[in-house]
Amino acid sequence: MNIAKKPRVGFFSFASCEGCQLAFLECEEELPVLLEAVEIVRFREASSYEGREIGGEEFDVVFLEGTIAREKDAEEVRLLRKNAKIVVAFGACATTCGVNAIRNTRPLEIVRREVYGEKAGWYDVFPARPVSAVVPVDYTLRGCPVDRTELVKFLLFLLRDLPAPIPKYPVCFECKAAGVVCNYVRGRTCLGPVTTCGCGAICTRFGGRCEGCRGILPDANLEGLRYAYREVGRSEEDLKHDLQLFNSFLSTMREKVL
Amino acid sequence: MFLRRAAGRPRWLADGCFSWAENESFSVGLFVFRRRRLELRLRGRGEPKEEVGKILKKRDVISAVEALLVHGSVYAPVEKDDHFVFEEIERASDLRLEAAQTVHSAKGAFFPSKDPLVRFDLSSGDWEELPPAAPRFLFGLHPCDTWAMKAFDCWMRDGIPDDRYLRRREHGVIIAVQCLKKCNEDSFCGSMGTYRIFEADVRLTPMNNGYFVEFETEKAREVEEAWREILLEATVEEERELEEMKSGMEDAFSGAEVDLERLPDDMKASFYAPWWRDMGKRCLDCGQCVAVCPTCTCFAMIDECNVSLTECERSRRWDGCMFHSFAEVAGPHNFRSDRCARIRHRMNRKGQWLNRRFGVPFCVGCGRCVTACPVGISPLKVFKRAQGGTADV
Amino acid sequence: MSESVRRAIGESSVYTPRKAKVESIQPMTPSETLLELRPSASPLRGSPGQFVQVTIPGVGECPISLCSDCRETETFQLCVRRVGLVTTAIHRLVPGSIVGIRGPFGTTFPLEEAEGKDVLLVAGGLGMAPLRSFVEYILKNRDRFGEVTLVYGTRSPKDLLFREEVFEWYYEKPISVILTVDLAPAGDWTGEVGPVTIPLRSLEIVPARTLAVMVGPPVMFSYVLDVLREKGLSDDRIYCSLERRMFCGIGKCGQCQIEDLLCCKDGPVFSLSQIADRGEAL
Ligand SMILES: Cc1cc2nc3c(=O)[nH]c(=O)nc-3n(C[C@H](O)[C@H](O)[C@H](O)COP(=O)(O)OP(=O)(O)OC[C@H]3O[C@@H](n4cnc5c(N)ncnc54)[C@H](O)[C@@H]3O)c2cc1C
Ligand code: SF4
Ligand code: SF4
Ligand code: SF4
Ligand code: SF4
Ligand code: SF4
Ligand code: FES
Repeated sequence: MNIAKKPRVGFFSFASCEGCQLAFLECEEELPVLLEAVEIVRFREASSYEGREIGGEEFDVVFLEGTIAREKDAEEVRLLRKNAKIVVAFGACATTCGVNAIRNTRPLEIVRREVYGEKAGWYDVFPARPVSAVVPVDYTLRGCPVDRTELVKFLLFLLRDLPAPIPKYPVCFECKAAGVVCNYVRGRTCLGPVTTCGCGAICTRFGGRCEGCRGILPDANLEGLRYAYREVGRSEEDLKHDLQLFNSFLSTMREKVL
Repeated sequence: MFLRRAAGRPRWLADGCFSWAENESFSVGLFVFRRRRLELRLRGRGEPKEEVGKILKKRDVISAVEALLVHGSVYAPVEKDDHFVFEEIERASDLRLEAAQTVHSAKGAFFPSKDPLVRFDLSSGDWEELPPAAPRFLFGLHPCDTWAMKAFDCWMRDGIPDDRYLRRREHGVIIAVQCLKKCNEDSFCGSMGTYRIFEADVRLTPMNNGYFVEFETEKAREVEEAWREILLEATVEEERELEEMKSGMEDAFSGAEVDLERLPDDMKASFYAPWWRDMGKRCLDCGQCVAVCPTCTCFAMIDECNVSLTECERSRRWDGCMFHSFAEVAGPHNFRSDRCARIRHRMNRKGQWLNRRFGVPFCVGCGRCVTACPVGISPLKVFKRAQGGTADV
Repeated sequence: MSESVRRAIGESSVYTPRKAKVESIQPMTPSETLLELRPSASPLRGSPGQFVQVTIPGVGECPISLCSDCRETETFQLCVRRVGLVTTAIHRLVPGSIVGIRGPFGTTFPLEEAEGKDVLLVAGGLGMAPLRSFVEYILKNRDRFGEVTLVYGTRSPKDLLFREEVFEWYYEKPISVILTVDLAPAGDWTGEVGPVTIPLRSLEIVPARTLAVMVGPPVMFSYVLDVLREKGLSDDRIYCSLERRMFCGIGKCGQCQIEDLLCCKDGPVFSLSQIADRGEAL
């Protein structure tokens, strides 16, 4: 890809809580080294700069955080794609549409009126979608928020201009390696079997269930998951509900929305 | 010694593996007995006398573990989230020797889920091997686990041996506990012929009030020393109780549902059977079955650098054939892209290929994968189906 | 560690690479490069058909076939296509760089079985890399073999590997060479156009004294195989070299399983009679 010796990096944020940018700032130990290695040109969460007009500025790498929810955002993303060598979709909102996709489950008009009331007409929102539904992305960093360790590892590949490996395993892979007693064995459900790994199974390691924030794997067997839910006495509705949190875009809506 | 009634001598194959398929009654006990006599002689105690049995009282188990902890680390069943798992124990009281089946096997002791192999110093361009650390005492292995360890040994010794594993294995002292009945719904050791301890350095047989202790090998001497003050001599009643326990055990495990001798051929004959599809539809590719299985050996390697890129560590970590990308190569081309092919592959490793090749069972019927599988896929169901059963798989 | 284990495993772990120095590195095509390595302690002494695991410190390890006959040489050569992480890093090496190597691993081409016979070599794309070591072996021992024919197909003329050598064989005829490309630009390409099966079909062979070896992408095998069988070659006279994901190279990691075979240990060179009834192999 031939990125510069000291790559120019920009962080841009669309519909999101900007928690993933925070996750980057939380890499306290690693930050000094990383900041030495890259030139961060844009980073709203860490600067007082308020404007967000995106011009013809060139980047080696842009990290795009957040869901694309209106035409104006989509245009900015297209411009950034044109001006950047590498585009990284950053965090659940950007990679799977995350919780923002829940909005798509109901008619847009109603949602708009609920949120903006009288002023609904001012906002030109369209059905929420991940960055990859607007432009091709080179890398996806998943999670709500992104995993710090994974982010740092990714940057180490990027800095060396090497193709970073893409996680292709389910969360169970990391969960079992960590010696967790499986939720299913304990009579509970879990989205780990169909969710992309990379988080180190942080939720299940601390006693929780995987909610699927990193997005279901491209070849996930949802039919089998339905069976697994039944086995521990949960219903189809429960599964739908669980998938809705982070995966409604990937599991049901992709075709309907685009 | 039990199993003296076993017919025929065990046959050791050229590669040092016990020929299992050809001996329908396992002469393991006999084998251990002979070897023990030999060892006693080697130890210069002359012809073996009828030795007085040793008893570890229930109330002394904790002090026994404490005594071991003085000599080295102890890997044993502990309680976790209302279940049992093998872990290195910190306090002797953490041990759950009475544990039913652990949800994870003991293979992590000699084959850790992540095993750092080499450290590369990126500034100097040098690298060094990282020493394989391992627990010293494996306490509380069940019979199926001792068979699994044998299977693991066969695989790791075959051809160019895996020194990382073997060094750990040589270092470890196995203290196994005989089961007297099936430990849970999912296990089927009775069907796989693995319900008697295969090999162990020290074997414990549960009794009403404690454990009957037998020291089997050279390595057991350290345990024998450590427990010198703790063990009691068995009384005549206790010896009698032991005999009863053993005969009761044989009954508890009777009723095998798998014909082991025919299994490899039957699995081969059903390789293209339509019922594999039924499992292919359900399987989630979650790979839990391979992670918990005590005879699953597969791994991948990964290199990880520190943030200043001055050091890099290569480690191996568990992997398995049930994951979608396991058989993928650059291209991309996937040689086992179909779920059904992946399940079939795993089941054939357990029921056809490896048991045929090495002469020991590669599914030891521990039932861990059955417990772990969220969609109820079970080797026992598969083996029975392959042998003409009609129940759903 | 007991004496028996020590004897079995030697001093250093099978997973610790040895050092080797990059003697030279030369791009051959836009995506393939030729690397010459000199092991620092003792020479590699690998045979045609075998492979080594190459480590780039800080990046990773990947299996690469020997592309020179290094049974008696101090250095050995590898031809590497850039496809991903490790191969990209290999392409950036410079003379003098230190890499790690493990091996040689795996089975060899049928060097002895082929003696006294006609040899038919079929190479597709990168398959030429391992086969080139076999050709080197044959050229060194030319009188031990009968007719030797190389059928080599690539995507386009610019993708030809070992171009100079191949042309030398083509014109000097120590072995006969048939070249074919999928796409020929208008101009000076005088070889064949189309898949390797076309020239293969029109080739005259005597099945009773011929032995065939094919190396190429997975899609090529079944087509070539059909032709070879049509020509009357029995399965035990056909060999191929297979590719799988590999980590350990010694039959432990299980990544390279082909049903009950291990590609790294039982292969990568298999006789077809070994794999014909294994649906997963080809
Ligand atoms: C017997 C044999 C012979 C071969 N001979 C040749 C030959 O002669 N020439 C040739 O060009 N090719 C050859 N190949 C093919 C070659 O091995 C592959 O093209 C190569 O392995 C691709 O590796 P890569 O790293 O470039 O690709 P990738 O697929 O990008 O990377 C895989 C690598 O990434 C690493 N990795 C995976 N996940 C992570 C992670 N999360 N973090 C860090 N690292 C990770 C793995 O360690 C692995 O090495 C041969 C293959 C075989 C099996
Ligand atoms: S707890 Fe969840 S992530 Fe962990 S193994 Fe079970 S299903 Fe997989
Ligand atoms: S365990 Fe699941 S929900 Fe938790 S961080 Fe990982 S992917 Fe997200
Ligand atoms: S499977 Fe059998 S041998 Fe293994 S632990 Fe259970 S009862 Fe014991
Ligand atoms: S296949 Fe299942 S039952 Fe058999 S040994 Fe492995 S985990 Fe135990
Ligand atoms: S545990 Fe069950 S669902 Fe998961 S990979 Fe194994 S067989 Fe498939
Ligand atoms: S490469 Fe590890 S088993 Fe073949």
